[in-house]
Amino acid sequence: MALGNEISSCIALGLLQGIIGTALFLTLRILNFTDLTCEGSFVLGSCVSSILLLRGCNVYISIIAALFAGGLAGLSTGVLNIFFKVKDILAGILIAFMLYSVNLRVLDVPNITLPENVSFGGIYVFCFGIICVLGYLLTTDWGLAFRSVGQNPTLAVTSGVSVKKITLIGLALSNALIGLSGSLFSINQGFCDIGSGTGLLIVGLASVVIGERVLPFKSFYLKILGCFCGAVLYRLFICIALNFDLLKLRPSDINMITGLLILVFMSSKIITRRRRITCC
Amino acid sequence: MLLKLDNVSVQFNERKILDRLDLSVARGEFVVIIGDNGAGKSTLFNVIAGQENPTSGRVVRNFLKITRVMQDPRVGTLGNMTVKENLAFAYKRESRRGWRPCINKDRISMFREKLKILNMNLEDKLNDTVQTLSGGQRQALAFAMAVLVDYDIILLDEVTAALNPESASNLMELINRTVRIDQKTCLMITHNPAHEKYGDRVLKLENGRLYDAGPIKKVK
Ligand SMILES: Nc1ncnc2c1ncn2[C@@H]1O[C@H](COP(=O)(O)OP(=O)(O)OP(=O)(O)O)[C@@H](O)[C@H]1O
Ligand SMILES: [Mg+2]
Repeated sequence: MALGNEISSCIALGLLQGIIGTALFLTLRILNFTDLTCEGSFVLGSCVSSILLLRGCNVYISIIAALFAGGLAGLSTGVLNIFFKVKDILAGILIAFMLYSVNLRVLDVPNITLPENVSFGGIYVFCFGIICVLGYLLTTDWGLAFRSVGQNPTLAVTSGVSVKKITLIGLALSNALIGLSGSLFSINQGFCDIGSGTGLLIVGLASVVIGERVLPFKSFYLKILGCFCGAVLYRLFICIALNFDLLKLRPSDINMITGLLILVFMSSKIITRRRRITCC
Repeated sequence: MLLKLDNVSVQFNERKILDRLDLSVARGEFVVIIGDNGAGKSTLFNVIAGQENPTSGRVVRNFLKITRVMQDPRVGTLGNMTVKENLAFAYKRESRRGWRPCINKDRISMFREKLKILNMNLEDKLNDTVQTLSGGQRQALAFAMAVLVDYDIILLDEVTAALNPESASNLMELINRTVRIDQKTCLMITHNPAHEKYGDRVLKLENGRLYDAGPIKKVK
C-alpha cells in the first residue's frame, strides 16, 4: 500500500513537472529562446494561488490567477529582451531574481500551509488538455509562424510574421504554464514555500531531454506527451534510486543523479546519431 | 515607375558599398544585375526589400507585395520543417495566419502541382524534412515558396548558383515563363553570363553604382 501511494504521488509530481517540461520545450526548443524565468514564475504562481486560497478564494480562480501571474512574468522577460535588448538568458535571470522580492511581498512570510479542505483532482485533465491544445496549435497556420520564429527569424520577418509579437506570446504562454504548475504543486502538497523553485529549471530540462528520447517522433502531440512521460519517468527513477537501500543514497544526492541522467540522455542522442551516419 | 532608387548610398563602417546609386524599374520589366563578389548586389536587394535602410537617398516603392529568393537557401527555407510545412508557411505570406490546420488535402494537391513543374523530384518529398534535401533542391524549394502566392515584384539572388547546368537552365526557363506569363517585375542577380539573355536589360554594379552592361541577345 505504501509503495502504491509512493508511486501515485510520483506520477502526480511528474505530471506537474511535465507541465514545466512542456513550457521549457516551447521556449528552448521551439522559440529557441533560453528562458530562465522558470524558477521565479513557478514560485510566483504558487504564491499567488496559495494566498488567494488562504483568503478563502475558489480553487479554480486561484489557479487562473496563477496562470496570469506566470504569464505576466514571462511577458516581462520578453519586454526586457525585445524592447531593452537584454540578452535572453540575462533577461530571464534578472526577472527570476527580481521575482524573489515580489514573491515574498505576495506571501509575506517564507512559507504557509494551505487550509486542509483545499484539494484539486483535475491534474490529469489539465495535462491532457495542455497536450491537445498545444499539439493542435502548433500545427495550425499560426503554429507554423510560431515555429518559424525560432528556426529562421529572417525568413519569418520577410514572410510577414511579427517576430516580436510571437516571442512575447510564447514567453507569456510558457510562463503561464509554469505558474499553473506552481499553483497545482502547492495545492497538491498543501503548502507553499518561497524556495520551492530551486533546481526546477534542470528538472524541467531533464523532462524534455528524456521525453525526446522515449518518444522521438515528429508529431507535436507526441513531443509534448514526451515531456510528460519524461517527467514521470524521471520522478519514478529518482524515487526508485532513493528507496533502493543498497545504494545508500541521500536526498541531497538528487542533484548529482539528475545531472548524470541528463548527460546520459543527451550523449546517447549524439552516440546513436553518429552511429546512424557511419553505417550508411 | 514601379521602383525608383534615388541617390541611394549604403555605408558599412566608413566603407561605401552603394554610392549615390540610381535605378528605376518599370512594371513588367526583367532586370539582370551582375557584378563582382562583394560589389554590393545583395545589399542592393536588402535596400529594395526594406531590410536595410540606406545611409542616404530615397527609395520609392510603388508596389505592395514583394517576394524574394535569398542567395543562401538555408535562409530562404525552414530547415527543421517538412517540405509541405514550408510551402504552407509561404502560402500564408500575404494573409492572416489563422487557427486552421496548416496541412489539408487541397493544399497538398496544390503543392504537389507546384513542385511538379519545378522538375526537381520534389513532389515525392513533401513529407521530408528540408534539411535532408540537396542544396539545389532546397534552392528550388525556396523559389517555389517565393512564387507560391501573388506578388508584384520578385528579387532573385543567384537562384541557380547551387544547381548543375541542366537543372539551372531548367529553372531559368521556369522562372522566365513564370515571370513573363504573369507579367511580373523581376530583378535577378546572376554570375552566369548565359543567363543574362533572359533580362530586358543588364546592369553591372561597380564601385557602388549601376552601369548599363550593353545590349543583349533577346530570347523569345
Ligand atoms: N551588415 C553588414 N555589415 C558590414 N558589412 C557588410 C554587411 N553586409 C554586407 N557587407 C559588406 O558589403 C559588401 C557587399 O556585400 P554583398 O553581400 O552585397 O555582396 P554581393 O555583391 O552580393 O556579393 P556576392 O556576389 O558574393 O554575393 C561586402 O564586402 C560585405 O562584407
Ligand atoms: Mg550576394
